Amino acid sequence: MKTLVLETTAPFQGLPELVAYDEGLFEKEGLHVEWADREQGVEKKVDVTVTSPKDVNPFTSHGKLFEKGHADMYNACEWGNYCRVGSTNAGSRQLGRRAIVSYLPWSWLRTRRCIRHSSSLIR
Amino acid sequence: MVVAPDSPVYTPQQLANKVIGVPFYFGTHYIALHMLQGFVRREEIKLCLAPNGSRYRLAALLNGEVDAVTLTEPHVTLAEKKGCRLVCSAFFHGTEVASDRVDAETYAAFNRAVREAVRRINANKRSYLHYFIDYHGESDPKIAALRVEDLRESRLQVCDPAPIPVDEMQRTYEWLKSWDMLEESTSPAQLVNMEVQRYAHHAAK
Repeated sequence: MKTLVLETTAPFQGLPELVAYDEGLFEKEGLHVEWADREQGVEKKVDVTVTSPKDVNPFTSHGKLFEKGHADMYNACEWGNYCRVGSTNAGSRQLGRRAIVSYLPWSWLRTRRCIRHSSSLIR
Repeated sequence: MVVAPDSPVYTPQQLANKVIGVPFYFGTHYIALHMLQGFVRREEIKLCLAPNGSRYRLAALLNGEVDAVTLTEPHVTLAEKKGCRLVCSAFFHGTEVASDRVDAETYAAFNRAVREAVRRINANKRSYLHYFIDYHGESDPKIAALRVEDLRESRLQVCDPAPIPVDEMQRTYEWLKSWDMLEESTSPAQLVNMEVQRYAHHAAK
């Protein structure tokens, strides 16, 4: 059995992986999957002074544990993964599209006054 | 696109110069640009940093910290229950990322398991919608209060994992470059393990 450490994923971006894990499908293929929590310590505040991705680390959540050698794989949106792979220090590359096609609407509420603060792995 | 019952906004073009909270480098950032650039000038799109996790962005929206946010399920459903209404929406792809430690055989085995999961989900989507509530409900009582009947099956779309089509890869690469979000690489092929991608997806069938 080969162990594969994956960064945690939510249903909207990884339901098939969660189902494969829960229903023993990875084990059936000879894979022992473990999850590494990429959300620990992630900042959860709005900052309206940051207006560009140039001011942000691309590995704040997705890829964070992978880049540190604590995970073997991660899945995230395709656009972001071009950027992460372009900035990797761990030799990452994309392997193909994941199974779920994520859904996203624009959310808009009544305009309000803005507050302006504001290892492993494979073994 | 979602608007509140009493919002003056009914169309995406009315979002010009509004402050929109997005988590940079996440799909909910890029899809915002894609959707808005069809309705307003690029310089009229005003983004700011918001947390990853729809729970936090919905809270920021309701607290008035930003003018608009992007959300994913099940928080889309929760937002609608709070009186928001959809203005526009889109679907987007994601990819798997690994280093050379994950060889083609391993990724093929991974994909075989995922393909079977896709088959099972598509055979009975409704029976898997509880994942959206269970995953977030443990830490969020508002999500825990949702019922499977509240969620729409049409918002859950899964298909077999597949290679990134070359023409789409090139268009995505050029689009990222056009926004100055991809600086160092000279070709999209540098960012994809073409050999593993080709073998593993074929072997998983």
